[in-house]
Amino acid sequence: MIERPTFTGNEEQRALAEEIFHLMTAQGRLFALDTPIRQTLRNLADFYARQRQIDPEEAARLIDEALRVNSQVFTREENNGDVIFITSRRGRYIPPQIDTVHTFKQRLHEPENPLPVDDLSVVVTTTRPALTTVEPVFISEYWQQQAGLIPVTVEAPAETPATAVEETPQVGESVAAAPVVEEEQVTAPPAAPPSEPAQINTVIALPNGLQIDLRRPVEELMAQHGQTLMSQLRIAIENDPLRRLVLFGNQAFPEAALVSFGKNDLRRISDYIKEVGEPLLDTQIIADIFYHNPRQSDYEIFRFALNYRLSREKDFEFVGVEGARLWSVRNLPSIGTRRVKASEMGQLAGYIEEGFDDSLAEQSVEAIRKTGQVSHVLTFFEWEYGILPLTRALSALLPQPLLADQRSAVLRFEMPQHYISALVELRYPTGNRGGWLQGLETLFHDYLVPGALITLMRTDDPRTFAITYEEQAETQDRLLVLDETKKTPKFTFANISFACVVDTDMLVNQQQYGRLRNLKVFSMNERRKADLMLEHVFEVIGTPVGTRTEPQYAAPFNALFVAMNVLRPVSREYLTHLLIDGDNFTPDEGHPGWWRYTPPPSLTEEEEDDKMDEEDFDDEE
Amino acid sequence: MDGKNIIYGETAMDKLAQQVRATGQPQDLQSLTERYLEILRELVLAGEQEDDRASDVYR
Repeated sequence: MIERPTFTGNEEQRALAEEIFHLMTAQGRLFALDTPIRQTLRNLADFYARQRQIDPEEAARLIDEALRVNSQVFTREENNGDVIFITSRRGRYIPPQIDTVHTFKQRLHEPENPLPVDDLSVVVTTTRPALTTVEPVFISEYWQQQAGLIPVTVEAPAETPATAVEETPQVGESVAAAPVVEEEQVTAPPAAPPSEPAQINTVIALPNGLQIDLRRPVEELMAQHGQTLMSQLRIAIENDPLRRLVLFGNQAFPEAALVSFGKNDLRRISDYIKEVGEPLLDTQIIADIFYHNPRQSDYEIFRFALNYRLSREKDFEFVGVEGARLWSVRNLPSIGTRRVKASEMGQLAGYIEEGFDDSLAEQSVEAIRKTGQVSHVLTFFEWEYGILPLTRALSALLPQPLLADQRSAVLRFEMPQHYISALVELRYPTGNRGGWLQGLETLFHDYLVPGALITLMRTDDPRTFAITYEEQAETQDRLLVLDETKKTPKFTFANISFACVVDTDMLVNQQQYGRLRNLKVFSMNERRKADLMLEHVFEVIGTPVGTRTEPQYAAPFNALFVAMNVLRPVSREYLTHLLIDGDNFTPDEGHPGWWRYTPPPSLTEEEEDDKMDEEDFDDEE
Repeated sequence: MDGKNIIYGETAMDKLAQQVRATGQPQDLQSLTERYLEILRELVLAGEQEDDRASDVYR
């Protein structure tokens, strides 16, 4: 409801004021009750003059008089010579009151010492507040000297001899010797000597305690401490909570400038890798999915962004090497045999990490790196499962992991003599578990036999390697094989033709190692226990030299080595270690290079009964 | 700037990031370290020069 105001003045003025009030409230009928409704005197006079057919000047005078006497309803304002009357639907105009009891300005500038302008950013900020950083605490040299952290510097006495000073007195020089004081008194008294400004310290300390002087040229510093400086900078970048720079491998770029990849992009990449069925290069992903051209100026940044983003996604796994960045996804078909689980193989190859690796006995790391090839004699285990333990010799040949947490790399091994290749997974060692190569089963079974002498070589492509062997006329022999066609797998000998040069001692044929058909096919879990395997091997291939009650077996070291490598990988050094450390193994005094195994005495039935009784008695106690 | 005030891996990292961004290419760790040392060196030596200038003015 609109309140009806009371108008004052004479009858004519009241009528006129009321008419104008109705006119103005009609004009602002959609306004809020308190919203001011403005109208100029000139407009009102024109309207009134036309309606009443009178002079506009006269109309203006009459209106002005009528509204002036009703000032409780109409507020009069003058603006640039124009008279404006203001009212509202409520019948009065109340100028808006600005509440200044609490203002932001006051809060910032009161009490008396306002915050400096710089600190306004602390109060009003559109950016995320920076995380707190540990600021260095500077301790004065005095306290450092007191704590014995730095040596106490004793001020050296004035070394300048008195005579010399007398000869060449210098004004303004800091002096302490008495004769000079006299000289100074004679000459004009100098101004108080300014204290020498403290020498700027150009030595910085790295987090690991290394101190470097930045006055030295950068090249010199890099030559002397390059590795430390790089590793410390890497640690700092990796631990930077603001991620100003991010790393992938050995490359760095600001994260803020990287392209972002959405879930849809990642799904497309994942689907594409699954469709191809093997790990893909980053360049292939970029070309086939994102249609990015290497000639584009931002190609390298795009490539870095892709690698960096994928490295942070748990569904993707980096399986590349330096120069060939490969990406894999979960649920991709596994490479290599499934008969040996990764956890089991890691433990079987653990002897390498324990230091029992003799692969560098005949070829040094430098020679391998220089020539880019490694020679190796295949053992039965390696041939059967297509696995090569990652010895130090192979480590020197194969690429190192590019990322710190990289688990494996996928390589391609070619056999140039037959124009075939296979994907091979290189599993890097972790902790006390050894590394290995797997996926060579087909190459080995099709063209090689246990005992074959192979050469592994680098190629121009960082992820491609070659396996070659020396060919010879085709030969047939009865060789050991693992027959897994029946319910219980067993070792047997079968006729096999081969055309590769072999190490005859390592060739597991029936003529030399006929007894190996009696080897038990242990589960991989059992094969991890190398000492138990050695005892079993002794019992199978050893010559019985003891009595029925005190059995003993003798076997040459080479036969033991070949036989052990049927069940699990071992090096000669590891086998020697097992023989020396084992309680039941002794060197055969009569035959150099032979070892004897004396099984622990087995209990007779009577003794077993006695033992049981003793145990029962113990329990009762 | 005094060497004592420099924290390796924290001081002037913004500047390093800006410089790397300006190159338009990801930088390998070695060139990044060299670049960073140059920045720190400039900071320290600039501080030393300012100090020398101040002492000259004082004299």
